[in-house]
Amino acid sequence: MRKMSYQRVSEVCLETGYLLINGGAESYRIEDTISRIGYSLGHRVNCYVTVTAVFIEVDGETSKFIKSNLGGTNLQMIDDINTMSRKLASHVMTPKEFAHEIDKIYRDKHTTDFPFYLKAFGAGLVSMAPMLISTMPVHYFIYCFIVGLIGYAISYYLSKISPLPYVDLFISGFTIALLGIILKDIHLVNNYHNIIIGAVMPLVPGVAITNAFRELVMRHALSGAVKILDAVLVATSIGFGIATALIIF
Amino acid sequence: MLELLLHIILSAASAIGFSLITNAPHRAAGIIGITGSLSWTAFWVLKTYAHVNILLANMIGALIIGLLAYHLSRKFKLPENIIYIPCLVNLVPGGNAYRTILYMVQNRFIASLEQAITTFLIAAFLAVGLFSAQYLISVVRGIIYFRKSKI
Repeated sequence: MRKMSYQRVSEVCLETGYLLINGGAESYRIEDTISRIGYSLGHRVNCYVTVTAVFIEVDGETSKFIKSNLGGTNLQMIDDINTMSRKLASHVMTPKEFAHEIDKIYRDKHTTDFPFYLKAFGAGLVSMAPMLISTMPVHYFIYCFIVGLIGYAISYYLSKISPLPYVDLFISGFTIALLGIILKDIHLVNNYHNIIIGAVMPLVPGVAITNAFRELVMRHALSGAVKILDAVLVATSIGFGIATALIIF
Repeated sequence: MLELLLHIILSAASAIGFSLITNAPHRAAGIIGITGSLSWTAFWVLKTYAHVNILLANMIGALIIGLLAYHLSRKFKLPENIIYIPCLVNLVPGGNAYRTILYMVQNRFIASLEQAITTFLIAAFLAVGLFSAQYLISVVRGIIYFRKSKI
């Protein structure tokens, strides 16, 4: 088997790191995956991953780095790359095929994705949070489903239209609270607090908080701190959206 | 009994719903549903029937997620975080976080501060539960390794 050149290996590893960061993996796991890929390609790869950049050194010969952005979750991408690196390690996949596949995903910037209506349906299911069961009648869950679906759809479309972060969450929090208050005003429900709690659940930064805690515990303090700050900002912008609606109406 | 059934169904539905939002692979949906509903039901039974402190109940729920995620991810060759990210959404203290904002708007700052501290403590104990699952696994593996190397 012919070895790949340093340049090619460093490119492939950088692209893998970039894709894994965008998929929302933890940084210690990315470092582990990259050094495994380098080992199965026949090189010793040193790498350092922070939350917005990947640094790579191959055999002490070349060193490169790539910039990335915070945010975005795509678990399918993590699973794809994981499966591919496992195939590479067990020699089911040749290095050339592996590099080709990574290039393809990197160019298109996405993998197989669920259609929007399915995601919105999922958001509706999340809104029927089980923590609310004993606090309200069962038929209120239908309102939770509808309001949560609308809130998620608004944040989804706004984040596609404008690149500015946090504002879409503010607006969808505002809309959810507004819908809850309207439901109370037309006497469909007699208490809007539970509807709002349920409908906000799909927007909660659960991924960011879990990853941040796991990274802090594994002593990757830099990326853990950045992710916690991001999660707090997301939660605050949703909360202030709700607060604005409650103050006005 | 009917309430327990409702809890099981709704927690599985909400875990699978979050896995749809975060675009988890299709083959993981059943695993995520089972893990999410088991952890939530354990939390709820402990809180309501056994009257355990809510922080401890949250910790045990997270511990169950961690152990199941370790076992099932090895069995089905999935990355671990695909399983525990959607399952944790049930246990996230959304109600307390909402009440923090609500009391702040109503100028009840002391009550708001109480809710904020509760939210933080619950989140911290979820992390403690997840990490203690990892720690337990590594200790057990270490003991097994130690015994094998001695003999």
